[in-house]
Amino acid sequence: MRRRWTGVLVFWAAVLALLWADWHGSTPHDRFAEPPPLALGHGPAADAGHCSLAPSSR
Amino acid sequence: MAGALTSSAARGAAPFLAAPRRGVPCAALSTGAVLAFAAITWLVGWRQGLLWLIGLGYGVLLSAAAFGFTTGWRVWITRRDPKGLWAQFVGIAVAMLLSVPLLAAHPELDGADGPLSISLLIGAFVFGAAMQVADGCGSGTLYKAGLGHPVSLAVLPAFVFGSFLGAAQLPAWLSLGSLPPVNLVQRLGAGCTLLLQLAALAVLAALLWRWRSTAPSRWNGATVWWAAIGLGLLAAANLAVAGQPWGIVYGLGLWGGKIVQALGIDIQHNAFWGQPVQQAQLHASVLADNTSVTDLGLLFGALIAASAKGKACPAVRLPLRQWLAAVAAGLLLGYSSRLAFGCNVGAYFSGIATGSVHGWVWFGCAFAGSLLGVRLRHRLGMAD
Repeated sequence: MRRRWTGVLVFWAAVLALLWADWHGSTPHDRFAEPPPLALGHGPAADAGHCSLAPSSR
Repeated sequence: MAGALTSSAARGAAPFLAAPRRGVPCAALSTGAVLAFAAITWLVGWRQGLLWLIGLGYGVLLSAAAFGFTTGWRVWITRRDPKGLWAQFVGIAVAMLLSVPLLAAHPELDGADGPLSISLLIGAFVFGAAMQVADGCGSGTLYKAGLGHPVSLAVLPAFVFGSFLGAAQLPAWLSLGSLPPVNLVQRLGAGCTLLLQLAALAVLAALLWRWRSTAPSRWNGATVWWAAIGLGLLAAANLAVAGQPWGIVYGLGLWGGKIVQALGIDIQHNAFWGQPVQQAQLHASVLADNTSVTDLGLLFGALIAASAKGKACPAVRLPLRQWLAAVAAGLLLGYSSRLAFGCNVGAYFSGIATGSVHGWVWFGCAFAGSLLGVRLRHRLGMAD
């Protein structure tokens, strides 16, 4: 059982490590420029990406 | 391979069937999910926190019901079992019934409007073939990787790198020829779009019924229907919270871009990743990206559901050839999904649900690709 969980534990440890490194290496988050909880009535964030978007559409 | 994986998964899950062992990781994981919600909300805001919860919901439903786009198509092709495809149509219809009126009344929301390009035709066809060899599409690879399936854990990094590479070369592919996106909500209005698209899904469902086999379905009981309805509701919530439909592969490509950039490779001058909006994403935390947060939630939700059912971390034994084929197919999945402006989620599910014509084109081309992919599976010795 333990051996089987090893893969998923390593995977999630790697995900957490990458998230931690990414957070500390990224532009500091501006808490005063957070979008409202719902995009409904406000629209998506200006830099929101989506797989259906053509490269120059935003 | 699916059959082999399923049987080996069932054998591997046997030790987890004892309730005390299964309950502890599930409770711990659920607590972790709540803590992650609090952390994401605290660090990047309510919108991202809500998207984490929506992503968790996707993962729980996909994993609990074994809701697979890939398998649904394959069992129709090989066994004329229509239940998987019917469930997909139900999910799309529920999402459509909520999303189309929202899009019509709220122009600030975006549909999954992909261009009608040569790259869409090629990308969707290749994706359809590759998803059968990898035994997982965008959502399938993510949820199975999340629950610890060894093959999907191996496929996911290749998928991530392929998505990055596909996005990097997308402008060159678009130069082959492209028409602008066509959204039926904008062209016909909400009522006509719903009528037309629901009628199209009903006709397809009727054709599946006409040609169905009388053999028992792969999916027993009503779980898959509830999962389909739940996925449709969550997809509509995704649109209301994020302002854009459910998507998967943009986030994976972004993760690839960040890793490549961290390795010191300059992508500032790339035609795609060098654009100001992409540079902003690359320099911000992935937690600020809508698609990344729902992808992470999906991964974790799948693990919670699988551990609750004692199906996490299945044991898998495959020959090396099948491992290599799956990883190569993962690379192709990532690359082709960016060419096709989405995978089974961003293009097929969300595209059709938000009235984008590219969703229908994607469906046709990817299904044709799956016909080839199923043959490739047989050549590689993979079971249905």
